[in-house]
Amino acid sequence: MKNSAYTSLKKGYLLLLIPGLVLLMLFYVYPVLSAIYMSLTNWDGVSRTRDFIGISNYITILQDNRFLNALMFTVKYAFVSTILSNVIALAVAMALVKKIKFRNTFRAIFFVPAVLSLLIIGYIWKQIYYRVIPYLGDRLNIEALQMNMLGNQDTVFWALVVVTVWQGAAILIVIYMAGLQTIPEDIYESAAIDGASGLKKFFKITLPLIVPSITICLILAMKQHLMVYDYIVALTGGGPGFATESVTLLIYNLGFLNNRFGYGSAVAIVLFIFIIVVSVIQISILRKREVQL
Amino acid sequence: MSSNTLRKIGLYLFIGVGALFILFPLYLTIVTAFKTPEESSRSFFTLPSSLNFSNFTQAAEMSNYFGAFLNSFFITSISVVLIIFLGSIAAFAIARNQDQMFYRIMYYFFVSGLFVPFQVMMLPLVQQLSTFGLLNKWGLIILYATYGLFQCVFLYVAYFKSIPREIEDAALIDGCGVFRMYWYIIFPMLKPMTVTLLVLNIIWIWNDFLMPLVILQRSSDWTLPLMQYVFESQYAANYNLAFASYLMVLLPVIIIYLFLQRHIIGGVSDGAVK
Repeated sequence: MKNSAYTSLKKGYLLLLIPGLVLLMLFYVYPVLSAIYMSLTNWDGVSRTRDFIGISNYITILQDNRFLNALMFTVKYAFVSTILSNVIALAVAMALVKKIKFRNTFRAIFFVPAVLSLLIIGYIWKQIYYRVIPYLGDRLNIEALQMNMLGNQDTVFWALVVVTVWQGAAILIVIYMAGLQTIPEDIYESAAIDGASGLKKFFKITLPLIVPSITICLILAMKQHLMVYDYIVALTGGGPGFATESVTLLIYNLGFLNNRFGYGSAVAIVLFIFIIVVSVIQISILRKREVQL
Repeated sequence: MSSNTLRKIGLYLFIGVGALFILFPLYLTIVTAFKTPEESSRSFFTLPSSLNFSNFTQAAEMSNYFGAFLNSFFITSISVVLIIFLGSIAAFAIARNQDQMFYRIMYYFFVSGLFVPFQVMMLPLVQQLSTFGLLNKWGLIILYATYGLFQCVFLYVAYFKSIPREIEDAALIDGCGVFRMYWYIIFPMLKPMTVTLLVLNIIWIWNDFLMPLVILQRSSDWTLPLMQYVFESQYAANYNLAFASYLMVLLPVIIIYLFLQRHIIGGVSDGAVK
């Protein structure tokens, strides 16, 4: 009696797992495996024939200036955006856990960008860079503001970073607040009695104790920025020239506009490996710095 | 003034300026959406002289706003129901059998998807869905249901650790099968995490752009972001019209946010910490 109940329980668990498993096999494992296979062919995405060409797509990647340019831009953009949005988010979170007036209202305001569409945010900022800032430049007679920042090779990078930080800090603020709230108040009090200054308290207490939050925030932000797509489409379309062509935009263009499915797949897999490597490095560095209370 | 008051002033200044920086683009969107081009050229920043809704009606008509809204609503709601249902049953099976190698491997298998960019699967998927005849909203729903599982299983399995097994054992002794147990006992206990996952997935799917862009072929299936993408290339020159359509795309999420902001912020912090 007990045994048959146990076997039916085991079968029941397996049945619960199967629907999700089938979906993953069909729409996750299968496409990833076909992407790997496609990346070893010269398929254009349309014709019936495709030749197996081994790793030659990957060799082409290493010599492809357009790819190297996209990778350089993406890495620089992701690195700068991740650092800036984390520093700002931590500063805002530290202010928002203090007992200030209208604290909940401020928290609600700072989180708003996290619920909005990245594409629409990009469009709104495009109008700001396109019209509002030059309009302001005209009125105030400041020449630096009169140009279109998105059309200029030197300014377009920072214009993108500002938008990214404006939106990307929001979710990090909430994660940092959650981390900061786990630090007991009496640690700070005893440090103050020992005569620790504000800066010392920050570096010796706050930072070490929120390393788990820092790990999550850095990985989350870095992964998201390495996969940047919506902002680029909305703000620059990859221009001026190829100055802001991200790897993701390159994959889209290769696959859907240039009919280079095989090569596009290879680029996608390189991006994938890159993200994994960066995440593993981040985790292994930060794990060592985790402190238990 | 004592250094304490100075510090307080600095704190409020920092938070205040930050909040203004966040709100400014939204303020600009709202006021511009109500203005005529002449009013905007006089000043970008002042309030409109009257509440003029013609930009909205015009943009809604030109972009088939209501059709896109219904598509977004349809796709988002069906997808999140599927994600929650399929994710919670899979997580239940995994969480309660972690002593077995097979289920441990399954856990890592589900969670591994969190690191795979959609761009890797994107090109083969279009081929694959096209042979299935699924380059439409049903195909998109299936993809959301699949890719939502990664995070859903990850967070539910973690949450199960806080739920005692004794209740399940008692239910088993009373002759309850796995399915009845899931529905009457397990699922209701997951409620806090279910709310978090609902919020995270609704925000993701409602705002997603790349997947609809590559999957949805017919314009009758377009979601709000995709509709805006197509609309933008045609009417960006009339910025009052453009801002009205931005506001219309953002409005549904902003309204939900205003009502649920405490739960949304709480849910995100719970989800992140676990």
